[in-house]
Amino acid sequence: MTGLTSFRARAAWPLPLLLLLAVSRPVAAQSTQEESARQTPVFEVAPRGYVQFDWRGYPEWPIEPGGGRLQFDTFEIRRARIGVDGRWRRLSFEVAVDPQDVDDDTVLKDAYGQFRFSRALRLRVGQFKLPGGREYLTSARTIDFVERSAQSSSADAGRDVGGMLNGEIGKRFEYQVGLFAGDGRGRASRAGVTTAGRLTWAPVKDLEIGTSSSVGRTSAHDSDPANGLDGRMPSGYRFFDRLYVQGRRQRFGIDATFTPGAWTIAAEGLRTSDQRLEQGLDFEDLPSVVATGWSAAANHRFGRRRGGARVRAREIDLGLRFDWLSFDDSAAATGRDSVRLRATDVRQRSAGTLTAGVSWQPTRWGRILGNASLERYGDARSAPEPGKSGPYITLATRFQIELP
Amino acid sequence: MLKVCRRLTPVAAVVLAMASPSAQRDDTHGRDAVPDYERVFNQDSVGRLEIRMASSDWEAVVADMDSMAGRFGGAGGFGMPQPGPGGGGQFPTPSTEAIAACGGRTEGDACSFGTPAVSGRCVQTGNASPLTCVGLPAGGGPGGNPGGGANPGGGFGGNNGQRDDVELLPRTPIYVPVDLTFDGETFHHVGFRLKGNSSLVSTWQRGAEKVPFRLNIDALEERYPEVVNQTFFGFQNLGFSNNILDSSYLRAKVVTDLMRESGLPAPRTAFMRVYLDRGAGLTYLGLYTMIEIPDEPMLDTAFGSSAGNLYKPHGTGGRWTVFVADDFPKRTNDADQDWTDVEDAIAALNDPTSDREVWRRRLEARVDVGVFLRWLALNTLVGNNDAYGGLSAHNYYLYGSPRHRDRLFWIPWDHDLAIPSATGGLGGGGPVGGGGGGQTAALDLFHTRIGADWPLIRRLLDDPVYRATYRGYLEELLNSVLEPARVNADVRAEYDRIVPYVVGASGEAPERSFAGTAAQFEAAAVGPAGVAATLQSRTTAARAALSSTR
Repeated sequence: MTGLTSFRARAAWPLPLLLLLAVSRPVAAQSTQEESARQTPVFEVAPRGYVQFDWRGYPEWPIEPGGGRLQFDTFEIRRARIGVDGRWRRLSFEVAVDPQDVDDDTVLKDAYGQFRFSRALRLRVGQFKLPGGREYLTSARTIDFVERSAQSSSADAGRDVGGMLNGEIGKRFEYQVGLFAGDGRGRASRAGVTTAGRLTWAPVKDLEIGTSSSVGRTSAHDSDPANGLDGRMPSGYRFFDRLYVQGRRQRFGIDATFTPGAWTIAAEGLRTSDQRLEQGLDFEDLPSVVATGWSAAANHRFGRRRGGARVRAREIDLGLRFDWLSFDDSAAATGRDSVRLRATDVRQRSAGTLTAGVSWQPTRWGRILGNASLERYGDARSAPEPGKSGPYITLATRFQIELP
Repeated sequence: MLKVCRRLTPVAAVVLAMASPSAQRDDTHGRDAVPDYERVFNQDSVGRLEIRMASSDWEAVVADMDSMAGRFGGAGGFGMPQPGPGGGGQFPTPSTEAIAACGGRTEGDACSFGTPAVSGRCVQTGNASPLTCVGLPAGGGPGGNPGGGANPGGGFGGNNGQRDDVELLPRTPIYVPVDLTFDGETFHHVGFRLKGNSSLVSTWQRGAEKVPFRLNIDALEERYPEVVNQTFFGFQNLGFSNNILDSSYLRAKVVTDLMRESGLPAPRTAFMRVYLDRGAGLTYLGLYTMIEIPDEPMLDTAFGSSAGNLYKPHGTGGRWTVFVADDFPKRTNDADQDWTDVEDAIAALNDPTSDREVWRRRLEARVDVGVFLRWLALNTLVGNNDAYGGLSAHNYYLYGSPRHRDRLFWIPWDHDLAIPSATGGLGGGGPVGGGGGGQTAALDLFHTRIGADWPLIRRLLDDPVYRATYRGYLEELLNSVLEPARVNADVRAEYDRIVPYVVGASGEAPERSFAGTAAQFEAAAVGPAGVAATLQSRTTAARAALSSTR
């Protein structure tokens, strides 16, 4: 988001909130009337919202936080999500806006309706997240760490306008499959019409395995900025700039979650390839650029009582995560690798982050997260301090207020 | 409703309080400031820039320069000849030995002359003057080009993107903090340093306080964290030329403007009155030509993106005969260590031309040939020898534009020695200007005297298609931006605009001025042998030459 756009967005964002307050009255009134008339509510609407205040420290980083290269500032409102969701008979809906979230350059986040034909078949239409990886589909309100892992935030799809069928098949399978206008409305890397799907399987108790895929087409225009994926680490540092891509964009991901007792163990991998048809200097096809990433995380909730009443203030989550993301072209190295936006031999750049985190939610409306991360870069020339591959330390604290 | 509002209120109140626009944003000082060309490079009036510096900082500047170039005002202290009559009676007169020592060399080459031998560098010391060997205490900067421009491996001391090109000095002058005031706005802790080579050396030698300098607005941000990413109305770097080598003060601005008007990606320029306070009150230093240093604002404006590679070539590599990475210091993306765009372009240029169509197609995919040919045409018509193909292989930038498939664009630079005139200098000159020294009768419009050591000219003009394109540009320029009435009017307007600030009651103090008397200044600018007349005579000669050449 450009500075000007960002400013406008920030200045304008209370408007949806006021609108929400205004429209809530008849909706609530309607709900109350129906409740009194039938005693069984057929129309429900509830406000949803949360705000995340982030403080970050970058000890000994040589670049200025909050600029283009290091995305996050030392203090910022990371998200200010506000919206409503509701239900009427078999129809459910959700609308949410967020002028602060930089993950998508669009204030409108979710705006969709979903009709439930049966447990196995639901139709969702509007703007919402494309089927993708587990962590990406997890709400930013409930993620275990301050930021999602690198492959999830950099290489996975975003929200877009489209239609999707989803449902449960038996007790062990869930599916999502949809057709969308793109793979990330508002993103500079947005592809054209994209199909995406996800299948999850729960073979045994506490274990869920998922796989996801999407296929779309990108189109590069010389006069526009580059339209490929960029690579950012959880610190917000961009180590890989967008390239010009054209042709098929394909994602394939796999993830698994194991939740025995107080533990949550999750692993995820994602491979995204972008064709670069006619992108050579002589309009020749270039090798595809491939983003490969994976992450593994373990979380443990301490203070959890079995059977007795839950005491939130005594529960605390500790977690550890490693994530890694790499960009390269699909052809063999030539010895003339380059960082240019139409390089034939794309210089391989990679980075990994080890993050330790703590999360504490003493009340239903407040949550505190703390993360300490170490980052290391595979190509020292693309590191925050050129020539020094790492480690780079990031400290992050989040205070989250949410509607209970 | 009440219930809904009650649930929303705490969140809304906190968010409303925290989401107010940041006080850090600033449309004149901030990093997000939109470059204000209209305000900074105002073409309708001459701006006033006030610089305030601590006296101790000025003393540090003097001590730093003294250690490199000898005592301030110590004429001849580092091998420079004494000032003598030239354009405006201000230019030093080089000795014949010093001129002979640079025969067949290009600017920046190492040289020596005299007994005992004085080592130095070849520099053009005046408008239309030949290269002159300028001696320095340490023989100039490190890593010279001892065998002349054609020697492989030559350079100027490695890849130091902040250095000036022809390293007469062993290191870059120091930055000191200054406060700037311009158009009602003040900027604190701006980085100020002296800049230039022959112009700086000449000024220093003469002890003239009107020194050429450069402002890097956030250069001292580590020392003064409060100015991190500070800009000057959106600009980060500005150069200030004192015009010591041009007694009309017009060449740098007029020619650079012509370049821009003809469609070339040239930097903006503007005249600026510069006042300096070193602790004892403001003193009028003189009239400067302020020049935009090619970086983000210019690249974004001209090319739509500043994310590409910007080079300031020099040395052997700057000729494009062979690729020499050290001769292409990067001014952007310098950490990437990636020169594949230049390497590819030089290879394509020097590919066999047996299949000319293929050769042209490959070259045009890597270099914007049209821009280069247009520059060459205009540069030839204005007789700028201090450029590629003439006396130097360093007065240009190259930009690999991401919005143009990484094609390299030629960005012209440094025109204060263009338009060779009798009043401007000492005669002579190299071939790229198509004949210099005010001699317009023998214009070599098609550069027949240039050889294979300047392949961008030789190979392009040997190609019939490019030769025809080049000829078309010559004709177009002669009938558009160089149309005589228009040139005369433009030069006259610029002269009228600046004359009160150069000579007369509000003009420069004689001890700081390089313009001479009012009569000399007028003669250099709009006199019978001045800038306007010389340019007109060159275009007349060019028309004649064009009609007699196929």
